Parts: sequence; structure tokens; C-alpha cells
Amino acid sequence: MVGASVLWLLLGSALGLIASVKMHGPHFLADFSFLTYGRLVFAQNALFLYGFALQAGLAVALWLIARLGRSVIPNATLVSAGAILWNIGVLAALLLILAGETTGLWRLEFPAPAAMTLFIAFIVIAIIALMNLKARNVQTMYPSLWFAQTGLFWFPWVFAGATYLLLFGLLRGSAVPVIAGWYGQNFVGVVLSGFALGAAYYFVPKLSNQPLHSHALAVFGFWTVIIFAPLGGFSNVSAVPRWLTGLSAVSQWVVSVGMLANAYNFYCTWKADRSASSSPGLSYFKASTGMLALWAVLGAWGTLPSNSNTLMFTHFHTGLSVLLEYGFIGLTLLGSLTVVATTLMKLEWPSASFSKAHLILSILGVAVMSFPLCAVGMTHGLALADPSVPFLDAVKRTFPMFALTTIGLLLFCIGQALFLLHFVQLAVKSFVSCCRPIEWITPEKGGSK
Amino acid sequence: MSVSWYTMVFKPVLELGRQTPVASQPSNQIYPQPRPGFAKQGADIYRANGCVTCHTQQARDGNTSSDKARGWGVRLTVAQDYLLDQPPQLGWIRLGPDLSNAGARLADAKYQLLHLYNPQMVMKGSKMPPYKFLFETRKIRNQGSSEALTLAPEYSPAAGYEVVPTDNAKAVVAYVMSLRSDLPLFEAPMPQPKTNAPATDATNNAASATSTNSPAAK
Ligand code: HEC
Repeated sequence: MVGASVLWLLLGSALGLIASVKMHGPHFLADFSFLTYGRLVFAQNALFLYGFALQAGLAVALWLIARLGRSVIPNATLVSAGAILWNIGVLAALLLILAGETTGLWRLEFPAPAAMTLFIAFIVIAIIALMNLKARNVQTMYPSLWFAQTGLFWFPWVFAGATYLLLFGLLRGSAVPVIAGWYGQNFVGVVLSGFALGAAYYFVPKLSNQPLHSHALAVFGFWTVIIFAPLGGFSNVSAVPRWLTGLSAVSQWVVSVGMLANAYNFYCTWKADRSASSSPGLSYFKASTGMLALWAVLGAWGTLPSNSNTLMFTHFHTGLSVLLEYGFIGLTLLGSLTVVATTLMKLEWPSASFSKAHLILSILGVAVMSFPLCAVGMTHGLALADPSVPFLDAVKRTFPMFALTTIGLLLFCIGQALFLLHFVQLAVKSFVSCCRPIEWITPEKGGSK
Repeated sequence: MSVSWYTMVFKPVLELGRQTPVASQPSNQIYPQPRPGFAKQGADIYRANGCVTCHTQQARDGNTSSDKARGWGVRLTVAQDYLLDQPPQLGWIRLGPDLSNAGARLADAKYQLLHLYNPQMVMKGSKMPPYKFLFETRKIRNQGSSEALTLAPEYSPAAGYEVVPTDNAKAVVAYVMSLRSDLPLFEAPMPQPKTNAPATDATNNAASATSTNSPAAK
């Protein structure tokens, strides 16, 4: 389907851009205004979140709904139209940011025209997905569907709210960072994490040929995340009312516990598989589960009163975001996509070594990106806390570690470039072998528990 | 979900939306004052180029952080400080120094323009990118522009040329110089209340960080 292929393409270009971002690094900046550090950072973030994560999340959610509900997507043309519109929105966002029209708000980096395009596209796809969910042929809802449904409902609300309040200039002063923080937290902590959790709840049992370890834990993991994640996200601001930062720290703890419950659930599920013949795709989920657990522990640790002040305004929080966004959400979705693509085309990946390389590069890339960032944050924070260390020295101390991050990102990019290449091969093969448009979703197999 | 809407959207919007400029005691000056138009224009340049991805504009108090000792602020900054900004650019990471009170310590516009053009010239080893695209290198006409940067030979353009800041460069410098948070506020008093807190004491003393004062932001 057109929608699906555009999706891959975008994934590639998004990550390609990230590469250029970091390789330039702070010093190698060209004298072009549109390539200045600040704009690239915003562009990278917007592309990852909206170009890749949310788009892939939507695709996987659509697939899960069809699979688990044993139904066929009712209106595939509309879905494709939505997907194309979505990608136009992402492109517009990219161009506007590079042209200097960024809003300066983290996770909502682009101005109203791009936001509205994205909103409409999302609504189109979400309505079809929800219609399909309603029309499902299996009555009980598997945990994956709770998450998918929540994401589909949740995103339009928070996105519309934030767009309306922020991008149309209704707010000023400190209310702006508060609402922007609230939105970013809901978007990543509930919507994207939700899509990724949903995917993991489906693929982990499926790929390890085991039933899900515990339904009750899934219920617990679902509600703690849904209820408490929206109250967090203020670990890196100080000039907002104190109760906000306090509430945020508490919610981080509850969410951490919930996420650990989810991670433990996945772990027990694949552990139960003794056959040692589990599918290679499972490795993505093993790695992403590990990242999730690490994120939960580090995140909670970072909010301890003794640490939060030191770590505030450092790369520690960037490292945490990378763990959650690239590590958990990214790897989970990539793992899902590798399975979805082959199932859709009814083919195997052309080259096993390519698949393996992508797996290794992605995991290694994320690991080499995120851990040093957290360490960088600690070094930086400690050096800054000591007023006898000159500022620039404090920053320079972090650079050896910082270099690792750049290498990690490079590995990750190479991995994604391979993936894209591989995907094109697969698509060509599929086209040659059957000369008919790839069927969207086939209902025959259905979801296994 | 509605819990989240209530606590995280309605409550802050109401609470923060009700704020109005207040009189700072004891000077009775109304605070904050709107930024001059040119500085406002500079805020847009600051936003467009993502200066916020390296600089914060929020100082914490001297008891729990080194911010004051580093000369970044004389008191902690609170919501009141950002009241008139749209959007305020609080930032979240300190790859560069905090700028919440930059106007008080960086009073020399000439220096700032040089820094903006190429930070290396005035701060060896700086990690801040050069913003040469905010400047124009052009042929010297007549006796040249009075605004041309005074550059050391190794940074100078070809003979017969000069480097002049564009309006954008001047605006962003005006904006940085308009950043001040050194008037005492009720919720964030000065650690050692002084009338007309002079801007200059921001830069040097680490000693006053030990003051017993613990300002309580609500
Ligand atoms: C890549 C990160 C980065 C970006 C982006 C950045 N800066 Fe900086 N900035 C720094 C660093 C590091 C320093 C400290 C070293 C120095 O003075 O050059 C600094 C210092 C400064 C100072 C001097 C502060 C002081 O207390 O001496 C000012 C003013 C400043 N930057 C303004 C800006 C403006 C305006 C922009 C956007 C056009 C900007 N910066 C973008 C990293 C950055």
C-alpha cells in the first residue's frame, strides 16, 4: 500500500536528517541559517516524533486492530489518503522549522499550518481505525487494543488542546511552558508509549509462542500509565509553581512502577518459551523491554530530591528521553514493522544478514546514544554544581562521553539506511513475484494470545 | 484523562493566567515591564534559531544550586518574571550559561555582537556556534559603516570589505540585554534585600549564597 511505503520512506529520511544534525556537531556548523544547531535539534525531534514514531505507531495500531479483531480495514483508500496527508504535514513541519518558523516548544516544534494538517490526517486515520475496532469479530479486547484505542482517542484531544492554546497565541507567560510540558508528556508518555506497549503486548507473546504471562499485571500496567503519566514531565523546569514539579516527581515513581510491571510481564512471557527457536524479531522486544526497565529505574532515581537539582538542566533528561523514545518506543516499533512488512507482503526478508545488521546496529546505536548521555548529564550536573569550576570547563568535561553519543547516532543511522534499502528490495520482490498490489490486511490468521 | 485536563491545564491556566504585573517593593516599580519593540523582535530571532536549545532562562535560588554563585541570577526566577513573554523561552538544558539575568551582566553590545559573529574570537574554546548569517560582509563604501565589527586580522574579511550586523543581529542582542530578573518580588525576595539591587553584584560573590533566606515559591 502506498501508505505503508511512504511510511518507510519517511522513517529513512527522518533518521538521515538526524545523522546530519549530530555529525555537524556544535562546531562544524555551516554558515547557512537553516542548518544552525538550534533549528536542527528541533527538526530532528519533530521528525522522530511525528515522522517516525507516531506514524509507525498508527500503522502498527491499525494492523493490530485488524489482526486481533479479525476484520478487514474498511476503507483502505481513505487510510492511504490520510497517510499521504500526514506526510505532507510532516514535510511542512520540517520546512517551517528550518525556515525559522519554529515555536521554540519542545515536542510541539512547528507552527499552526503544519499542526492542523497533521491533526486532520490523524483524525481521518483514527476514525477508520476506531470504526474497524468497533466492527471487530472478536468480542473480548486483548490488552494491545486497550493501548491502541487509548492512543487513538487521546492524541486528538491533547494535540488539539495544545495547538489551540499555544499555536494560536492564546497564552503567554509561564502558562506556555506548563501547557507545552503537559502536552509533550501526554504525547510521549501516553500516546506513543501506549502504541509501543500495545505492540509489545501483541508481538512478545506471538513471537515467543507463549501465552501472555499475566493479564492482571497488564491491567495494572495499563492503568498506572494512563492515570499517572499525564501528571508528569516537569523535572526540567524550575520557574513554575512548586506543586507542579512535586506532582511530577510523584507521578514519575508511579509510572516507573507501572512500566516495570509491563516489562516484567514481557520478560516472564518470553522466559516461558523453552524451545530456543524463538523468532529473531523477538530480540527487538527483548532489547526494548530492557531499555524500558532502565528508563523506569533511572527516571525514578533522577527525581530523588538529592539528585533532581544536580541533574536539572543537563543531558541526563535528554538521555532518559532517548531511552524511552528511541530505546523503548523506537525499537519496539521497528521490531513490529519488520514483522508487519513481511506478513503484509507474504514474503520473507530477502537477506538474513541485512536483518541481523539492522537489529544489531539499532540496538547498539540506541545503547551507545543513551547511556553516555545520562553519564554526561551527571558529569555536567556535578561540575556545574561546583561554582569553582568555570562554566566552559564544565561543558568541556562532557565532551569525551558526548563523542560516544555521536557514534551511537551514526550506528543507528546506518542501521536505518540498511533497513530502508532492504525494504525497497522487499517491495520490489513482492511486486515482481505477484504483480498485484499488496493486500492490506489479511484476516485469516488472527491474533494469537 | 479529565483529571489530567483539570490539574495540568485548567488549574495552571487559571492560576498563571490571573497574574498581572505587580509593584516590586521597595522601589514600587511595576514589574514586569513590556520589552521594547526591538527587543521583542529579537525574541523572535532567538526563538527561530533555537538559542533555547542551549540556554536556559531560569535561575534557581542560591541555597540549592550554584546558580547565584555563578553570577547567573541574584534571586530565583518565578512565573512572574515571564508574564509578558509569548512564548517565554525557559529552556531545559545548560550547554550555555543561564541568561535569565543576562542583561545585567552583559551590558556591552559591541562585545555581544562580536561574540554572536564568532564566539571563538572572544571566548576561546566556546561551544556556541557562530551566527555569521546574522551579519553581512560587504564592500566598504565611503569611510565604511560606523557599526562594522572590529575584527582581529585573522578573522577579518578580504581587504576592502567589512562585517556589519543586520537588524536581526542587533535585535537579538537587544533582546539578550533586555533579560533581567533582578527586582525583588514578594514570592522571590532578594537573598539580601538591598534597594535598587545593583546589577554588578551579580557577577562576583559566592559568599552570599549562604544566606539563611529560603524564598518559597508557592
Ligand atoms: C550549541 C549551543 C549554543 C547555542 C545554540 C547558543 N549558544 Fe550561546 N553560548 C553557548 C556556550 C557554550 C556559551 C559559553 C561560552 C561563550 O561565552 O561563548 C554561550 C554563551 C553565550 C552568551 C554569553 C553569556 C555569558 O554569561 O557570558 C550569550 C549572550 C549567548 N551565548 C547568546 C546566545 C544567543 C543569542 C544564541 C542564539 C542566536 C545562542 N547563544 C545560541 C552555547 C550556545
